[in-house]
Amino acid sequence: MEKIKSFFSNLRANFIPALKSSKAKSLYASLICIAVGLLIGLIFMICVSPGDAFLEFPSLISGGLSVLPKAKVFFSILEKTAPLIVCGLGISFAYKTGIFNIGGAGQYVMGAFGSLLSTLVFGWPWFLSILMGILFGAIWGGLVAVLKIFFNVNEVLSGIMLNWISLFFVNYSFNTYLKSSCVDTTLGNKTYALSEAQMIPSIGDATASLSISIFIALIFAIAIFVILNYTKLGYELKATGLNKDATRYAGMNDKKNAIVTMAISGGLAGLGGALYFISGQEQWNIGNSSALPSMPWNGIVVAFIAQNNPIGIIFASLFTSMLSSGGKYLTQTIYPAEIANLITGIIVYASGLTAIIKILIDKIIINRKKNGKKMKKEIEKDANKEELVKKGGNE
Amino acid sequence: MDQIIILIYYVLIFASAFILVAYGGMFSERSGVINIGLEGTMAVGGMCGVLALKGMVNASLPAFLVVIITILVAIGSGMLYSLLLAFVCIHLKADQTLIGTALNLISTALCMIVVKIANSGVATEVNYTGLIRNYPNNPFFIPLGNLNVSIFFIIAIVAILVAQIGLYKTRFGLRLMACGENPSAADSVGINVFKYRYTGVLISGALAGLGAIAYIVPVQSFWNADAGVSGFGFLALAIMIFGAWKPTRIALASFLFALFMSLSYIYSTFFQELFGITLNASNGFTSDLFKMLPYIMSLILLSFTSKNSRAPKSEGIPYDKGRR
Repeated sequence: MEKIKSFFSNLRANFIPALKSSKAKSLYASLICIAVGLLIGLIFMICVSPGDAFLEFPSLISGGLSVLPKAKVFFSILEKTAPLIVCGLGISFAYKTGIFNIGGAGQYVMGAFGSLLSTLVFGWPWFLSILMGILFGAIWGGLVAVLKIFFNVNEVLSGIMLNWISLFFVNYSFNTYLKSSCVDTTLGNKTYALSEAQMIPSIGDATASLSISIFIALIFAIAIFVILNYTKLGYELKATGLNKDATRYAGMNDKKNAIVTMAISGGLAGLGGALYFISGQEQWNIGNSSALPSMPWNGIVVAFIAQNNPIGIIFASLFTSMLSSGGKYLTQTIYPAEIANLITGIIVYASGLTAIIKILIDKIIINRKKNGKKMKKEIEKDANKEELVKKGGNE
Repeated sequence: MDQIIILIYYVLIFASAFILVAYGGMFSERSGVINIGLEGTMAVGGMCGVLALKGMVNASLPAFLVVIITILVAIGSGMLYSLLLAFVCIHLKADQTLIGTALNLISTALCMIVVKIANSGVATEVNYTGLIRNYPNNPFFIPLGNLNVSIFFIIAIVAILVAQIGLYKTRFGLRLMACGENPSAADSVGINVFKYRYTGVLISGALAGLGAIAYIVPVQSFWNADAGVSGFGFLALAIMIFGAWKPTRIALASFLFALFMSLSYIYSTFFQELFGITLNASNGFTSDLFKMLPYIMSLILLSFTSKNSRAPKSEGIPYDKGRR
């Protein structure tokens, strides 16, 4: 009995500081950003068509499950979550060390290219295709770091250039020397649909199947969590992100670390491309040279929603892909599916302000009582001082 | 010869759009704010301009009014959209790259949504073919002998002069550059850094909107929200870097990039008729190749020039009075 009592009193003592810790504050900030995004989305929907907004909003945030509660819908959300998780991990891994990997889209494209190349041209099994995807992405990401270290090229600029170069290069390749082996000219200008044997294996039956890509993504999320928190490399990388000069002074090899970081980050983005295309979600459209794929950009979204926490990215990815699935279950004649993208865009915009949001949380909620007491004390102190001064003056 | 005239026609169109948008990036970065959101700002400005144009073409307005209103709507919406960047990045000191990326994401979604609602369906195209039907002499062009010159070329020429003189010879330009190089020093002599940064970003928004119209309207009679401006804003950023943040060099770089861009549209007939060479996918030439070249060029140039980069020293760093 006593033990249970003490457990509960300890729980309370441990629980309240935990609610006030900096990690908890990050969580609140993320939730506030999400709430702001959803609220603006809802207001937008009300403006477009007031009568339907509240009827359709649940299907938007539940990913369409409220309309069609089937395993198939949920599995298709999970299929899209897997590449998103690894893309988000890639972005956040680089961001931890102070590099904004805007070139994630290019690394994703190259990863998709590498995996399709090995499947369609070389006929390799799925796990080798995925490794090729990682390799291509890692090279493309490492290139950004090499350009930064040896030529002092800003990573944002080179990332943007490499994004478009990769898109044009891949389309160029599929249009010319790879056309005969990869492109299905009968069914529009897309790469061949993969057969069951070429794809990542899946579990479940014919009505609802789930490829194991989500489990691969989860393994990578845990691996990144371990690398960042429990290895020397992770320690050095995080230190570099916090203070670059101090780490160099401490004798860490910052050049090597930057290349390793970008290679891992690019490899993860490339893995995203491989998981997406080798699980047969879509075939590569060789005619589309005007827009980069949206998946890696959503990787930026989830990285910032989760504030670069690997475990948070899993949930943020699930949320984001539920949202974009939900967009498709809206009544398209009233609400365009892109409302989901609008909401995620606004969330990224809001997450640019997390620093301020955290300060506001501190000021308004957590420290209100304390501040109130402090203020009182200070006022009393001031009053005392004034009295003393007055007395001194009199003397 | 016809082919050369067609090439010049396209080069002038793209070069003027490039000059305008790249100047937009230049003014923003010179004031110390990186505008990655240039692409998104272009798409939003272009969309509003094009929608206005679509609304006007059947109203039998005088031609010059149609042109002026379209341009003003594009400029106004571009400025409004860039205000989203200016406020959080200057006042609230948010990360400029992140907010710029967010603005690009939002604009892609926003354009699709607005266009779909405007079409009251799922179509993503804005069609303004009425422009050619109702105005036989396309009001966006001025005939010059055999060559139709778009009015945006004239605007771009004016922009070159204004930017060159405005940046180096006026009080405004010098102060703007000071805010991008060393805002603390600028502030210490009484320059309002926030005001100049706001002005820089707003100019960039206005020019992005204008540039979007210059890119979309003279080339096609419809605009597809799905494609947006297909990387034109990013290319303009590359041009700005290629031109070392200097008005005259940016103008020259714009012509070079415009040449490649034009070739990506007309390369097959151009080489066929002029040199009798057939270029197609089977001998390794596609439009993607020509589109890729400017990016590769600027990446190579970046690698050689970045060691002593001419970038404004304080770009991307929010100005904080407390750090002075």
